[in-house]
Amino acid sequence: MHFKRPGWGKTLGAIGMSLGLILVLAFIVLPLLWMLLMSFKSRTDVMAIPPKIVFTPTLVNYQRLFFGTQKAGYDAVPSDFPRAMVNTIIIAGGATLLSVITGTLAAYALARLHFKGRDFMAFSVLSFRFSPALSIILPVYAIYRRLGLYNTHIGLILIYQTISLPLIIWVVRSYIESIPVDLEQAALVDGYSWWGAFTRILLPLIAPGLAATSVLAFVFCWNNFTFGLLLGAAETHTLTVATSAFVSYEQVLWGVMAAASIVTILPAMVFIFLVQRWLIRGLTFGAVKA
Amino acid sequence: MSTIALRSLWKKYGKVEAVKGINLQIQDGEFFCILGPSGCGKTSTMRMIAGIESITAGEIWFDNQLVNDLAPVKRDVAMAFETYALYPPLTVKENLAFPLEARGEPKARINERVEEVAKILDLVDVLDQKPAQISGGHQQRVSLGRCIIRKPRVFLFDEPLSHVDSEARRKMRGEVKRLQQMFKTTSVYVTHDQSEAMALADRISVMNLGEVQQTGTPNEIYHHPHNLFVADFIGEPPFNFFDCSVVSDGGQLAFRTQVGNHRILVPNTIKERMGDSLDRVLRVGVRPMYITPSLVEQEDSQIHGTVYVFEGLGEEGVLTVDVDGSLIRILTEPDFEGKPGDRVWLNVDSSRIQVFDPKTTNNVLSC
Repeated sequence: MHFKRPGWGKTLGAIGMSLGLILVLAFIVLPLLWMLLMSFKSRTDVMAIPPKIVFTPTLVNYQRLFFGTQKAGYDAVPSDFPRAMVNTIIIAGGATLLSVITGTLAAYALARLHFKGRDFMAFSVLSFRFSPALSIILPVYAIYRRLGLYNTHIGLILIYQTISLPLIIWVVRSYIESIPVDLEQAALVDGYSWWGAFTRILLPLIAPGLAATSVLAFVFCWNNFTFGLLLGAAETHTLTVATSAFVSYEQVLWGVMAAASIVTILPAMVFIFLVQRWLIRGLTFGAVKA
Repeated sequence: MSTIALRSLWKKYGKVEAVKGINLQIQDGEFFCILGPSGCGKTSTMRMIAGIESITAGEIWFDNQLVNDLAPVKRDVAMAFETYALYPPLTVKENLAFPLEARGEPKARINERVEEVAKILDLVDVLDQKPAQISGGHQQRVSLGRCIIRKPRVFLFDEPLSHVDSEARRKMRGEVKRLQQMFKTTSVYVTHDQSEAMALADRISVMNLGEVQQTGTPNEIYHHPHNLFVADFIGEPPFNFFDCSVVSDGGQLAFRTQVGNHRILVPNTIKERMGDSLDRVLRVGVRPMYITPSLVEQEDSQIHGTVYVFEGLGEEGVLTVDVDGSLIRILTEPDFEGKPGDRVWLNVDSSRIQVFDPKTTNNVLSC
């Protein structure tokens, strides 16, 4: 009888795998860690060469960020960061909400109804994602100026649809296609209107996937920089734009910028961690048809 | 309770013609089966009756109400789906209650009905479970339960038994018939299983390629099929066919098989109608139970061949005979003693034969 002991090859493989994972992780996590440390450093510590790992942490950057006050070296000016936060919540939240409502209905139509040009339409929606934002920004800018949408929340919510709508339509469409149409038809025969069947039967079944996709769309909107920068001004600046504003003509406020970045990515990270389980299930759910 | 009338009903999917202008009249309280192979348009027809498929052309009447443009809810039908279509997040109890809730019935009445139906269908033990947790047979009964919990004008059954195993299917077949007779509700039942249709229906409509081939009682369809399709589709084992020409032989009219020159005398009852068919080639069909085999030549033997195989099934036997290269199947006693290769003589009960025109495929005797 021969029993094969787990060979060296296997162990080596495991070690190699771990090393690889550590490398990838380092690539992703180290910059974040660096940023986190930097956000607690005083102005001189930020500039120190070689970089300091051990230092006295300070909240001065966060204070400056939220209240605009500085103990030394800066004038006390009101910060526009809190406003940017509110703006981002309104714009990213509004854009996601609009996309969820219109996108779910559109996805239903694309999944269930048979009409001329259906596939062409679905593809057109997806194609919004193909072109970089910068390629459409000039005409959009001109149109927005003329229509008075420039530097408005509504204007940004509308242009953010190019980010969130295709995502929601395509993912939700595949969820809907994975639910047997018999269920809806049974509900129709049982006595529900189309809307009743849609809300009572279909929505609960696609809810986990819809929620996961919405979070993803929200995070994409939240992280967008180009549209906020080019189609908004002080009144509508989003967090990403406000963060970049700490690079100014005279100086780069590294510490404050790091603090701003941390605050900006925090909600996205928290969201993703919260819905992580659903997200994976949701995004693969539609792919595997029963 | 309602009659149903389909008038020149059409369904097209793009260029595909699924239902080609069919006409049917279904009586009040009747158990009506639409039978046909897959793709014959039977399910499309049922979905149009239910209102979940649009009507391309034609009319559907319930009693004297035109329902073409009525939403499913207004037609007051109940439907059992092939896939059961149970709502996965709801328990059995909630699934049963669903059609009543949709119509805003009071809570107490709903509970009362759910209990009644659960008792009728033996679902009491699984009421609090989800559809995914119960067996296929149970799911199937829940789907029937959801149908009968209301008292609709019409029951629609879309192959409700095709996904349960054969033993459960035979049992449920009886249950479905019992339920229908209990409620006396007009029922339309779609199936591709001829034995199911024969067992259940008051009347059957056989469909093929979007057209009704024949409508009649199971007996009419079984014994007097209108054309070759119906003859071939109904019955297991199916009809046996011999291509024959009609000959006058010593003053006697007879069918002579094209291959092998076997002779079957034309019975007196159809002599007149065959008189003008001299030298025509016709297809003579006879059911497996109207042929008697014998291992020795009898005076009245008309056809002979060799035993191909014999299957003794306990209550009956199925004998397959090779007659000049074509296989004829015969129902026999289970103790028939014939081994492959044995010579066998056949007597055809000529009063039971059906005669078809191979060109038009129609039954020459009944059309």
